[in-house]
Amino acid sequence: MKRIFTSLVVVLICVGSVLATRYFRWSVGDYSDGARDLLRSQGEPTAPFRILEYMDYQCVACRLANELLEDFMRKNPSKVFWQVRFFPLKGHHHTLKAAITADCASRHGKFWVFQQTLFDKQAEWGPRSTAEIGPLFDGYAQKSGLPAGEIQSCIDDPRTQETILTEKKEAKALGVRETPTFFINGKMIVGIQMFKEELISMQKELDKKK
Amino acid sequence: MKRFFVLALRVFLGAVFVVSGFSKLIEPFANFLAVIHSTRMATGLPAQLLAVGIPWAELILGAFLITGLWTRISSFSLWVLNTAFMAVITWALVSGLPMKECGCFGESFFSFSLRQALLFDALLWVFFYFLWLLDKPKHGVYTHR
Repeated sequence: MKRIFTSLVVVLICVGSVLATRYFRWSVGDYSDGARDLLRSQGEPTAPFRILEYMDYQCVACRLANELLEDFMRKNPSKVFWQVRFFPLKGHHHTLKAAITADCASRHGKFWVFQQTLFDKQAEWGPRSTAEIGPLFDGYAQKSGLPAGEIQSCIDDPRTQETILTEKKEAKALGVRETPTFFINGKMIVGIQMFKEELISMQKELDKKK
Repeated sequence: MKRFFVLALRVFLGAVFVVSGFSKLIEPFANFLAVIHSTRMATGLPAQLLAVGIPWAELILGAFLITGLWTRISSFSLWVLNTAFMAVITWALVSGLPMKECGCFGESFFSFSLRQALLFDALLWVFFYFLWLLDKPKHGVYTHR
């Protein structure tokens, strides 16, 4: 009897310490309609599904997630509001540079076109050397209709990189550890498999309402 | 001497699993669920059950092992879990799954590559073997200890 009581106390201590740590540690993913965020968003802000994505341009799963979400938005126009934030991973050598260039593209209204180019050409620029990457991105930027001179000053501005690293720091505080990580109406979704399952359940929910 | 050795093994193994379970549980649930998905061994509800069940089992059984409660059952269950982890990691290595990290300790404390995790788990397996061998109950498996 005494052993059962002690066991119960041990279990309660375990549960209590986990709940207390979680309570003080995490907050729910935050959406923002600030100017910077709106430059990297698409869809209606009042849409029933608000998706905040943390991504990395060298991550293959992010490319697949991008395709899935594009497809979902095509099938369900006006049902999704999609915001992108950067989470450049360690070990992906050109991903920060890609994020900086994409952020600069967003200031000229070309974010989505440039992002698509980055994903389409992922296999081409991923293995390149650091010296090759600048001219390659310049080429992509020009193809995306970006003014060459203006974008270069934005890329060289240390504040652009600072913005992205701050974004990553904020993401870590939300519990983001890898990419792609989504917050769909506040619910955290990590990885492509979970995202596929979530899109299926979102589709079912929309079909029910039709 | 034998009693001290058994106690040291129990506390060490228990602490490893307490830290492992706790570090997963304080991370967002979705992070460990993604690790389970990345092994490609379970999806949907089974994956969710594993993502909830494994960390709680590690934490509670590890705490039991440290405090000396149900030591035979706890050590055996954790040994089975440890063996299962080794099997999953071996499977991931053999089939070349794109897993950079084992997710063994959530991502709060340590980060192990798959090979490092397999080596560490093998060491734990040996420790469990010694614990099982040395910590035999006098009157059968489920006697009070």
